[in-house]
Amino acid sequence: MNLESREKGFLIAGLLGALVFLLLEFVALPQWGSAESSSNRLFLAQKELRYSRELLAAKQLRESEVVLRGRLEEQEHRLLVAPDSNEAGAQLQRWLADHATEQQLGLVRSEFLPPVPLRDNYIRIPVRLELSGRITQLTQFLTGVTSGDRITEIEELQLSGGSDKEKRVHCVVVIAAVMAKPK
Amino acid sequence: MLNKRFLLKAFGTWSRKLRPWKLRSSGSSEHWNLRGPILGVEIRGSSLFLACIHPGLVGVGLAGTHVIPNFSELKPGELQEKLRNFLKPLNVDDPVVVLGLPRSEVIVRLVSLPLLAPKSVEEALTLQVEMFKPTDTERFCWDASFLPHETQLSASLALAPQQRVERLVNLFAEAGYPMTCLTVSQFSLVHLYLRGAQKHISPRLVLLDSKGSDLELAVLEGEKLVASRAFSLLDRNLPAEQLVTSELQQALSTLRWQEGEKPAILLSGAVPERVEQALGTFGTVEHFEARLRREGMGTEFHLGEFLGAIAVAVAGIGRGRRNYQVNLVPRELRPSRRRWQRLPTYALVGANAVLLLAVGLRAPVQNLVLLHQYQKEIAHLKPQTDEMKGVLEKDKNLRQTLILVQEFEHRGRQPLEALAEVAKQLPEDASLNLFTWRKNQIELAGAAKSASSLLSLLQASQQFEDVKFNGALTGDSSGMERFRLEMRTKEKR
Repeated sequence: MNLESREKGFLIAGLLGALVFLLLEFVALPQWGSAESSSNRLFLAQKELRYSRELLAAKQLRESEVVLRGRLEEQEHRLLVAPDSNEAGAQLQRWLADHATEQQLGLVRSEFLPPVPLRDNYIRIPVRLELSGRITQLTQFLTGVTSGDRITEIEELQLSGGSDKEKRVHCVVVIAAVMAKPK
Repeated sequence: MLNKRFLLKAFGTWSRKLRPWKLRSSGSSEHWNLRGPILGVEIRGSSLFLACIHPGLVGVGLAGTHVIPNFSELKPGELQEKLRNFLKPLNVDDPVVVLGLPRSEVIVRLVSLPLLAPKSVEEALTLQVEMFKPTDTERFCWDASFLPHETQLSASLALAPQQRVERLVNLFAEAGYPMTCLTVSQFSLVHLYLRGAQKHISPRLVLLDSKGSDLELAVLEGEKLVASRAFSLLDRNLPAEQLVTSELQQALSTLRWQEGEKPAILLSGAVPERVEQALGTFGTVEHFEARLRREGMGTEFHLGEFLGAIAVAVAGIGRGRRNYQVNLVPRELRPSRRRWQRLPTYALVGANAVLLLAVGLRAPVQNLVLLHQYQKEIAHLKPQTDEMKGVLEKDKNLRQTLILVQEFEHRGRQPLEALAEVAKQLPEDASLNLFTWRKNQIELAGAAKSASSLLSLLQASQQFEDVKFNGALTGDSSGMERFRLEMRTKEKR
């Protein structure tokens, strides 16, 4: 096939155009797009790298974990220790009755309430008590219960009476303690 | 008909301002692109007529024209100075120099050859030159232009004495303006006409160029030059019109034109009016410039005697031996093409482009490199980082659990703290017979001498909010007021 120089020129120009198009489409423009967005990605990478370095440099994290674990274990010694919630309820009831007796309070009635989960790790064990006695004894009982060797919470408190000569008070109180969830 | 693409808008201006010459033709197989300035020099008697054309933005511009009188008496240095004085204001340093010899100094032979291989044509023409040269003692420079036509090849052979050619070539070379091309002025005009006219070529044309007392006559059948001669008005003691008609009749008599086929007559230069009238009996007479004017190609300027020099300059555009482009300068005397002359410029432009590209690409490329480094380091640190993230997560869980337990214990004392605050705020004369606490809601009932004052006392407390009576105050027999209050403990933040 004989081509004139003009036709050869067109052919070469066409081939060059196609080559340039392919280079632009599949090499230059994708690379350029990647390079153009690199400043944002670079910023994120810098941030991530700085975070990683700081994380690795923070040796106190391990020490902090030990301290926290110690403190938590110390707190957990004050939880009810029982294989299930029923036994824990009985344990709490017995412990409260002992404290009431110590303060010479009359225990009129005691009642279990349904246990409630407390986050993932714990169960809340509530007990309702009806007590009668002097107000001073009653406050000593409540203070002793809330600041004793068990972690407890007074959920409800009702005091009534105190108008008689002996100043006796009738008290209905709901006290909850915490036990670790059985594994 | 002259083509608009071809001829200039301001053909023949004396102005130094560049004029667009629309010489670039699209679709033409000829080389029309002017890459640098061309100095066309026509020998007219004892003078040199100069015309410099220059590449413009759109086409070709006429940079300027000039006349150097009595050039044959000039030394190379003087010629150099005159040429420099002409070219310097035009900002032209190194033009291509094309010289047009008058027809009277050249022997022209028009021969027809069978279509042969180029080598055979060369041999045939060499033989023709040997036959036609007037003397055996003198050497001649020659060149030919070809026009293929069916089975024949028409060749227009031009011969010039080598001594004359070398003298001119040396003169310009010593003047610092080496001559690239030496052509025949008449051929240049024919070339200008043919390339300009393109497809609108008259079937029969007589081209008469007047150079003062010298006249040059060319007869064309289509593109083919069929007669060429030069004569002087001073040769014979005849009136000019008679001499011209006589010469034209002689030229036409050799051609077998049929009756009634009148040629178009194109006049160039200053042709006397009576000669023009006499030529009217042969055919339609028109001036070359008038034709330009008719074609509407910028004719407010008078081309005058510089038309020949412009035609010589235009003949220097491109290469080839068609359309009456001949070069009588022997190859060994032609200035070598300085292919690498502009190499430093191109190299600097290239270097600048590379530098600009590098400056433009620096930031993205640097970012990419840094990004790859960071990603590599992040990948390297990932196992340790993951371990530390686990520690951090455990730490967070431990903290949350501890806070949960501590809050539980703290909340457990709130009723007692509320009871203590109520006892503190109540006056001596007040007594309670009911205290209820449930989910931060407190209800009180009791008796006091002035129960209404209790409200403000309890509202003043930092621990309570929304303090209000929950029922009307009632008096009893002892003069005490019975009250019932409700309020909320404030959330600690």
